[in-house]
Amino acid sequence: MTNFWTAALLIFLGTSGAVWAQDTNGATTDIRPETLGTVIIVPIEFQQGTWRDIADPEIVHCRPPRLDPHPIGRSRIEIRDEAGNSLGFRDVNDPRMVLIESPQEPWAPLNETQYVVMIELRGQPEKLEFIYDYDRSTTPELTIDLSEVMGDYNLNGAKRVANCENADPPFTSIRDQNLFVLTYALDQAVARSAWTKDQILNRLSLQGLTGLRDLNLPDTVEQLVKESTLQIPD
Amino acid sequence: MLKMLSLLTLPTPSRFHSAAITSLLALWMLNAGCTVETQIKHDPVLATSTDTITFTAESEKRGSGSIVSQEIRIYVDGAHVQTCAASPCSYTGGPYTALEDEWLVYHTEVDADFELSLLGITLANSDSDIDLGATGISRPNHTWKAAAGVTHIPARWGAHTSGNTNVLFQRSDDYNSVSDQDGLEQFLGDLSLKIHGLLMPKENIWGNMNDLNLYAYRRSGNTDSGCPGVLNSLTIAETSAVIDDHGMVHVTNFQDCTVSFNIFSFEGASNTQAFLHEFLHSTSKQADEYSGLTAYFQAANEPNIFETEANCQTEQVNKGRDPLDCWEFHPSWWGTHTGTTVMTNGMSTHPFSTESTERQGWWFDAW
Repeated sequence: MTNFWTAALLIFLGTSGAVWAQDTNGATTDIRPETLGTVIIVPIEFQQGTWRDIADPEIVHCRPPRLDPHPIGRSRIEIRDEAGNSLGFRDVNDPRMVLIESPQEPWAPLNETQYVVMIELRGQPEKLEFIYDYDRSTTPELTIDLSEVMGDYNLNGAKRVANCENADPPFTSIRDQNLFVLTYALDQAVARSAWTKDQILNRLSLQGLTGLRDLNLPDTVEQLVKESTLQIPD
Repeated sequence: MLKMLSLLTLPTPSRFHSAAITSLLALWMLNAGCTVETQIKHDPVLATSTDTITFTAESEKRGSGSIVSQEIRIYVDGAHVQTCAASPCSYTGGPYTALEDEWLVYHTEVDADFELSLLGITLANSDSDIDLGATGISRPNHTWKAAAGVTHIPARWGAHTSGNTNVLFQRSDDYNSVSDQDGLEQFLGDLSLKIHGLLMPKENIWGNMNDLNLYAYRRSGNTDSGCPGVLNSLTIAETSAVIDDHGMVHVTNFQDCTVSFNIFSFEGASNTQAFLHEFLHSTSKQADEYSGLTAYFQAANEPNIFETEANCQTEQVNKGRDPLDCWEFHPSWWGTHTGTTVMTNGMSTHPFSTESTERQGWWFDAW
């Protein structure tokens, strides 16, 4: 995993300075939704050989689903714009795959199942496609019209989900502009070195994590600061 | 983890040997992998603002040297609360009333000095490691940030969610025979035992909890029709995309399963076969290692079973192991495992197979 630097720190630096000052709403305790991500969600089901959606699509602020480069039995979720151009896709494990312990009957994929299609919102998609067995066919089994939900999103923004906003300390703490765990680590660094928090943050902002080396922090404190920053996998 | 070669001690006649030999020995010392790792956990895992909490930090050496001395420090909510010279190191604190509805962050640090002797030459080095955890301090009725609409409780949070696997545990309504609240209490107790007593101490998991964030859901689903059960109808609306895997915990003993590598079921009672086994199916896509009527698959990276003998033998050769250890444990499926393993029988006392260990290691590195 290659970690690159660190939305959390940038948010911290940003929110403590000019960027946050431009917030004309004065909502200083507000979540900044863009730090969570925006996700399209559609519950679907497989019954009697057919995939169908079982609820309207929603667009929410939440951490986007993780991407799996090598799913087992590949199904594809893809969003397209009005002209049919792909705006993004996500491959997922076979939703009908089941591993039953010590089964008494030969294995077969589930005849009935429910599944929740999730994909990060990119651009202005008009439709979402679900392709069950992407390795054998690229024809969608299910196409979902996103025009209505995108219209609502463009008008009102994404739905907020309390559990998403409170699942992760740094995201939670954005509400207070106080990056919970990084702050915890920085407090340790300040207490156990001659540096101030501003000096350490300044070094981090200019040089990234490598900037910590020259600070001569205790090894464990340096590790703590490194591991307390939001790291985003490729 | 940082490693530093801090001292090189040679017998007097050899003290002035060439820099080349010194460098070679230093390199060998580093390659011997004398490192220290640490893990900290808290109990009860799902603590309320009226509970005291015991924090236990452990250290383990990796490599062939021996620890000459070590210092394990425990920090809770930023305060240095305990120092130990040996593992395990424990501290009991709280209740953390002021952190009700908030996060409690804690961490451990270990500094260790090693020695390694070879042919009368003693090499020394030092290493350090940290482990950080966090948990939600819930109210006495086990709500956490309920006023904000939150319906889960952070049990053991390891790191930021962007690269982590987030697992939400939910109880079946067969826990609720007395009442919902009683069911919740029973479920949280069972889950605490699973996390604290079975998952975190397990080899290959130990020391890697910074890749996992574990949450308990306050609502219940049902397992009326067996595995994996039906999640509470509000689960997706309330947890959305932040959850990678859903674990359904139930009382009734039935055949468990994992669906689509993201919903799995297991009995809540103490040490049952399903918990670790299904957890590993779901989170790290480990395949079954028993012969039966199940579905087999070869994962793309470090698979624990192989779809051809050639694949298995290539893996063995690449890892410097005997390709003749490959055997057809199930028609047309190959592996090197023997006896009972977590992926054959699933008890926490069962070991990981070699391939399963490598799969797990790859997964922790990859995410």
